[in-house]
Amino acid sequence: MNQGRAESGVASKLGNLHLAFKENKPNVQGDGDFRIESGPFPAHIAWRNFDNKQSEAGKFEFQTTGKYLSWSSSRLASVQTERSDLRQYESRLAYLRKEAAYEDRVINTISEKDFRHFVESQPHLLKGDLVLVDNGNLRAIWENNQGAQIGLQFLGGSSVQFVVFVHRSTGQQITRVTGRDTLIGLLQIIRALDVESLLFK
Amino acid sequence: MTGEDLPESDHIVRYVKPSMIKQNGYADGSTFMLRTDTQNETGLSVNLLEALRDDRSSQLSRVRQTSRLNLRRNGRFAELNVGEVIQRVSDEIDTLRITHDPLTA
Repeated sequence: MNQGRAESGVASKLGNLHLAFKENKPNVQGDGDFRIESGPFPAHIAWRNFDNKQSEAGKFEFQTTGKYLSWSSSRLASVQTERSDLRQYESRLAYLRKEAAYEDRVINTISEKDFRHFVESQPHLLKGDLVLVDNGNLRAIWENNQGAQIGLQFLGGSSVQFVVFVHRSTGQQITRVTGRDTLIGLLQIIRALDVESLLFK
Repeated sequence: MTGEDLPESDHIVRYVKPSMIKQNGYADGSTFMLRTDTQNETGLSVNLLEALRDDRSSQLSRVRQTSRLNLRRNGRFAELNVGEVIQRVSDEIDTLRITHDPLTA
């Protein structure tokens, strides 16, 4: 739903939502789930099929217009485009996995799962750097030439440990903000710190 | 000497594993963090270059020869000046100490 604009009891058109599924059946098949994809852009709901082959994935967009809820669906192509960002990391992940093996350790499965989910759920995410922390967790880093940086260690269980370095004003020293939050809570913090441009296109 | 703070003019190096070097070639900051899975870790191990009375190139060579770590070809040594580290970190923490505490041979 649009952020902060959902109103209880007024979405009378929702009663016809099942027709959208029926009419656009090829877009919603198999096992999957609806996910709210948030970010600096208007939040929308996307259907994601659990099948990694993505042969039947689709995308629904819901928008509020006055008191009514309207939706449109688009087919696989756009969803595939959104999910292609993860491919940018595959060679790096393979490299880290190989290096971890030399060090007699592995990448934590739950950390990698959360990282992949984060990248897949944020279609406008810029490509960041990726390292492997001593504890086996993945840590992604986004930074610019002015010293601003966002570092996210994926802890598993949809939690991240974040470290953000941000300039508060031109010429001032960098401020450091650290903490631990959920992946969703993190995005709110990123907005509050006004460092979205480090993460998103 | 043991337990004393190192002079600000001294230099230390810390080995950075390949998996903790970013693709831009720089060490990730997490390489300088205490390991959370090692409860007894209260400090980071580094090599003191000034303990090796030689030119810088030879000092690094000696560090590589005598290191107890499994050094990888694509790993790196991060070289830091003691004084600069103390100054920068003091913006956040004023309890950081870089001390001389050599390992037994």
